Amino acid sequence: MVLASFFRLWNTFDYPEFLPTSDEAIHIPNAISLSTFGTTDQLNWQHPQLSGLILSGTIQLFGNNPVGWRISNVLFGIGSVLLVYLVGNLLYPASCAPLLAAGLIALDPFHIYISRTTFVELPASFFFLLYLYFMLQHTENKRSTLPFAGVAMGLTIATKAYFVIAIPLVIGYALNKARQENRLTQALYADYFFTLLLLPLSLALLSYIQWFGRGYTLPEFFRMKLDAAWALQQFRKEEFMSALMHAGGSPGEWFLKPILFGQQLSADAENGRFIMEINNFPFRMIALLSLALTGLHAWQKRSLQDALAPLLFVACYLLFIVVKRPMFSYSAMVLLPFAYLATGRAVSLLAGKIQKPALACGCFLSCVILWGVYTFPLVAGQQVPLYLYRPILAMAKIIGAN
Amino acid sequence: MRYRTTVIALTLAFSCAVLLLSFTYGPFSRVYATPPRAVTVDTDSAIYPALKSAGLKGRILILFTPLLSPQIGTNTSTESIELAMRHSLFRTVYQVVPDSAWPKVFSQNLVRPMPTPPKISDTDVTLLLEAGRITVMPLSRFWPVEENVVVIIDPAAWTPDERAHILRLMQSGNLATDFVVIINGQSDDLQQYGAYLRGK
Repeated sequence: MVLASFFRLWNTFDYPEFLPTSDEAIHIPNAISLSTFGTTDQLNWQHPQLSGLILSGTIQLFGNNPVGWRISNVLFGIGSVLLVYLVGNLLYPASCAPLLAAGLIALDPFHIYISRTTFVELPASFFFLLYLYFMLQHTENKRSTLPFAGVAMGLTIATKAYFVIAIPLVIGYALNKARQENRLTQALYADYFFTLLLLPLSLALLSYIQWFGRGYTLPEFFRMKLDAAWALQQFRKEEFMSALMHAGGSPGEWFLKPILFGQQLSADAENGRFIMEINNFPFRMIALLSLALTGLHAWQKRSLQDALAPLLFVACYLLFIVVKRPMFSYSAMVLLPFAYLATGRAVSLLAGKIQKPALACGCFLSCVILWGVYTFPLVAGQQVPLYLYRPILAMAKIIGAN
Repeated sequence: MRYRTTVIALTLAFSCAVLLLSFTYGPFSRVYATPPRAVTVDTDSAIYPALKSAGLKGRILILFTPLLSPQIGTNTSTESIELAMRHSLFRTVYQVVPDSAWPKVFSQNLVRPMPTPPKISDTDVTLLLEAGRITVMPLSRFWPVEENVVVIIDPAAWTPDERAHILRLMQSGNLATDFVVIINGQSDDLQQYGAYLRGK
């Protein structure tokens, strides 16, 4: 957590302008417009608006400056690391998997990059992890956390629609668990109806309060949502900033090849400063294999608990593959917790097959830390000696230079 | 058991409150022109100041003019209307054009550069903007609106018969209005609409 906080806070507020390879130039005017006029400013009316409200809240609290712009994602990023550990602990107790998964998220240069700017994928992912954590507390430890799960689900829906398949999947998992334990009663169905349907939908509707303040009523809300669904289907790849879209690769490539791109702030013959999006390729490329291994293990053990992370990964990834609209690389953010939970699980299973599992997990974690420390300066705009980073920079696409 | 009952009761109360809010908050937020009145403006760029000075909020605008040109960034009626929408004066706009001008306006809207392409139906074209919808249609396809609306009219764009038809719509209550902006209006236009509004 210390490393996660350090990498997300260090130097984050020193860049005084909107980061050119991020969407800050869209998110920040949108947030200000949302709090002033109740509507977004550009290219965002089709999406839920909670992240804009959060951003406008931090801008009102800390000012229209880099702290106000970026502090919320810093906190969501650090919180996500903690939640991945807690979720891992519930899914794979008494193993090194939670620690490895949290380590992977904490030191992932892509997650760090997203945490240092304003992308809405991070709050969406954070709220879903919170929902998953409370649901697992309910299913695994029989805690009365359903209302909290409902609140977290509502916040997820109110942020972005990435988890439309994953949310019901978790409910299905919980219902199946209850069935296995003969707890499937009418009272449980009623609890689910109130806390996992009525409560989150009401909360999601409430997140449009500023929009209703523009004079609208509920029937107009439904018409706007239908318009939004239609409009999202109309987006064409060529209408977006093509340099960013191409540099980030297609969803099919995100876990298969190195993807590095970003801005060069300065460079001379020996040193350079960059702000780069790096897809953490050494570990992302073992993620698909790890998901397959974890899935196979779950199949052999007939354990839905073991299969949950791979299933959630597939549920979110399917959306990117089948949806009829272009996807930017930052959307990969929502897949990382499940990919890394499965990676942590696969490594812990393989480590269990050798004599010294703790040593194997320790070695893997050391690699994660070394890679994270090595790539961090490239993400954070720190000056780096070019000879140390030549192999990485040779693969990178520089799409903006000062 | 007590925890369960409390959770269900709180959830129900919360949901009912949100539902109630979603039906009532919008209408309560709308601001109408008091007293109802008609004003004339000489240029397109004067439309927004005239609307702003009336203190309107959250309203439906009926725009009886074919003037929504595709030029953005200059002082056109387009800019005035879209600014008024963004600044919450209007949530929905219906642009009603003379039937004779419909083919031209229709094709203008099709080529207009916008993030979302226009939504086309048999009877109208809808532009989906960040701040709301603009539905464009010919006068013959215009239907009554159930709430009090703001009207902007360019009398020069209409024949005397069409002008009379629009005024009849207002007088019959099918187009209840509290604020009329007349573009380049003559004194008799102002008198006509003013008389109607004073009679409300």
